[in-house]
Amino acid sequence: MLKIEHLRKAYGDKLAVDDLSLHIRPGEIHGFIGHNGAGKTTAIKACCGLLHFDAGEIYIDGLSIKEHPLECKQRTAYLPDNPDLYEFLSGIKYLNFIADVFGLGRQQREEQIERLSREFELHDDLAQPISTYSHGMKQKLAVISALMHQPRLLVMDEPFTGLDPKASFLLKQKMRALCDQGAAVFFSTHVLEVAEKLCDKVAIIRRGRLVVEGTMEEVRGQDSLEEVFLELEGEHA
Amino acid sequence: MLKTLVGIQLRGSLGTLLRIGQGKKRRGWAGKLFIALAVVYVLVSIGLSLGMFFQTVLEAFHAAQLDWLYFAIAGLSGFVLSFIGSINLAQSTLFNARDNDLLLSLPLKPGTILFSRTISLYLMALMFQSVVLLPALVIWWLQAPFSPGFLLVFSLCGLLLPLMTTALSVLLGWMLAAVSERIKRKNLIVILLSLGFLGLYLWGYGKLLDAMNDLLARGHQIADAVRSTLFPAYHFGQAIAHASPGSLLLFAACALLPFLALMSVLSRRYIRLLTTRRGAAKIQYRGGGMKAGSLMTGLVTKELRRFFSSPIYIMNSAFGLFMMIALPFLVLFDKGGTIQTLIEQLRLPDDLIGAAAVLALAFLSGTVFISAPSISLEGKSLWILQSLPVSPLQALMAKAACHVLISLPPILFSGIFLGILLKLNVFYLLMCVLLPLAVNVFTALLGLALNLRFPKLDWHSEAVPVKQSMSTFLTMTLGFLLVAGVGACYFLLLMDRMSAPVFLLISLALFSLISLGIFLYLSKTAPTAWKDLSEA
Repeated sequence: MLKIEHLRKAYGDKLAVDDLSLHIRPGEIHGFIGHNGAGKTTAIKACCGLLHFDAGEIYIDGLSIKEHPLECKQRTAYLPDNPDLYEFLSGIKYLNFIADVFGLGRQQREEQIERLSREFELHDDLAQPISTYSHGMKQKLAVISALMHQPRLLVMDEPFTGLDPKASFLLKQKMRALCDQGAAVFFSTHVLEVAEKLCDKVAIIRRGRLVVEGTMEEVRGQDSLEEVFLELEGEHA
Repeated sequence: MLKTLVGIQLRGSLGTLLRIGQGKKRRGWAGKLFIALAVVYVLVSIGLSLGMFFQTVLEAFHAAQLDWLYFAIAGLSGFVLSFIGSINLAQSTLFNARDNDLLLSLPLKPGTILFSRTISLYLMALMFQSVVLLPALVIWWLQAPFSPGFLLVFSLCGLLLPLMTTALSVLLGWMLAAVSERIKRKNLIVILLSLGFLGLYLWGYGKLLDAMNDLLARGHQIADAVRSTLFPAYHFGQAIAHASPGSLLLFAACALLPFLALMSVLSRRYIRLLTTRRGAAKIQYRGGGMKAGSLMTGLVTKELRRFFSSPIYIMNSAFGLFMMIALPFLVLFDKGGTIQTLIEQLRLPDDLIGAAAVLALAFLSGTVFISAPSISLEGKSLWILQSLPVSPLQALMAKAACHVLISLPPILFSGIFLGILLKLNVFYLLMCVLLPLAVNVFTALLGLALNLRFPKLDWHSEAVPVKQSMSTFLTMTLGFLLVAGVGACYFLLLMDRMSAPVFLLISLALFSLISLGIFLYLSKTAPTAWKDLSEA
């Protein structure tokens, strides 16, 4: 579903991502772990067509993000670490805008918005301007907008930041349900316990380079993910 | 601490205007040359037109031994321009800045925050005012070379004058913030209040100019009356023209005392104003009522909602449209007055009246710059458009469409209304709509091209991309100066060789061709430039 091949991205002299290769298959929840500034956000933004990259290739559903950006984005939903939304719109107008962009019909958008907003307990607040929302409410709205068009690939940067425990639990369920329907989820996180419980596969990145990647069992062996992560950090320091 | 805060404030606001590079990429020599040429063109055009005005004024006033009036007029004009330039800025900078919460959480005195923000307002006022005062100084110098003492007094007065503008705009901003906090349809009320205040101000300024004309006609008879009605302007002029220490002191008092008094009162209430949120009653969503639209409908609707949600965006970028709507009313209520007299005195043929009307509307259309800050206004929300299946050109054309859609009703209204009032024939009636529309399309595309070159996404207040960015400055000035240049070419050089209809058709073709050129440029460069914004 998402294939990253030898991705390289530099900001001036600073190499943010160096020769990163990953393959996320349909049905997989793939965690992306690394310290602050390791290059996770850069890699994720490149996957969603938000950034130019210097070398390598990214394929979504077999389509190159460079050559077919619109087709790739049509299949993808992206959730940034800090969802700055259009504060001048109300929640419902924002969702309606996203539905217009993805070409959802009236009935489909009404059903999806009704169901998802009730599940995430945002339904009654949808008429309010986004400027009045708390950080968590904005995060919920961004999650709903990402899920409503049923993406084939869900890419998220620290998706659980700001969500209350109930919403976090629900998002995890949604991630699994999407994968059960044949989609794939790729997300970064600092919360190793979440990755350990949720992910089918993890990749650990350090200073832009992939340190280790594999199924949870392959990566951690008999240890906890935290121990593995700290050990790898120490080795590559 | 104050120094640091002021530094941050200046980097955030004026840095946008002065920054040549775009993000992490360095601009090539061609880009720098373009910017330098554009800035020089704008400054020379403004300087020349104001210089010509001051030349006439100086000759008249010098002959009447009223040199002080020359500087009084320059000071007043600078005051008006800087006030128009900074209207609405105070509200967004002082009361609605995005980093207010952050600063309030730091161990800073409210007065320090207020002062650091006020400095950027002062510098904006100083910049606008310098556009008027510097040509006045040059014209004076050409007539009578001045001493270092003169230059010192002029500089002192020039530095004091923006304090008056700043005090007035802070007061207006405070009023608008206080009113908008208490009402439901706050954007509409803020716009109406701003327009009303500006209209009142311009009306008063017009009356003052009438008084000046009276003064010229009747010499010194009403000098005492002027002295009392234009007290600060009188002493501004006296201090500079006659190096009068008394006038300098009085003018300094006029500039400093209201400013300091306002700052003193406001600094005591500032924290309360920023932290009092009365809020509005919650609107409960009841579901349904949604309309499915196309991708372009969604994008354009979003742009329209962005525009109508922001009084500062409306008041600044669409000010020309308000003036355009006002123009036919000015003619309507001036029957037999100044405009009619002017037409009769100049014995203008119908063709020239028609051409002048078309150019006046096109000129006002050239001042509209709705699209110019529209990319910058995406700010930290840019990721939304970049991550959605929307091509860069679609995103840009939605912004251009929003610019034109907002401008279209005023253009149609003023074009048709003015054409009927001036009894223009069908050709000129059509041109009253078509040429302003062509200029409008041109400024829409130019604004986008310039905003892609000069993006400003990390703003804390909408005032920064709307009022203090290179893209808005260049779009507005290039827009109206190009129309003024085309008009001047005709009236000064081509009038005897070319008929007005042919000239207007050529102008229409010219603006259409330039627009096509910019569109092709955008089609080619937008995909790369749009993605580069992530690194800007």
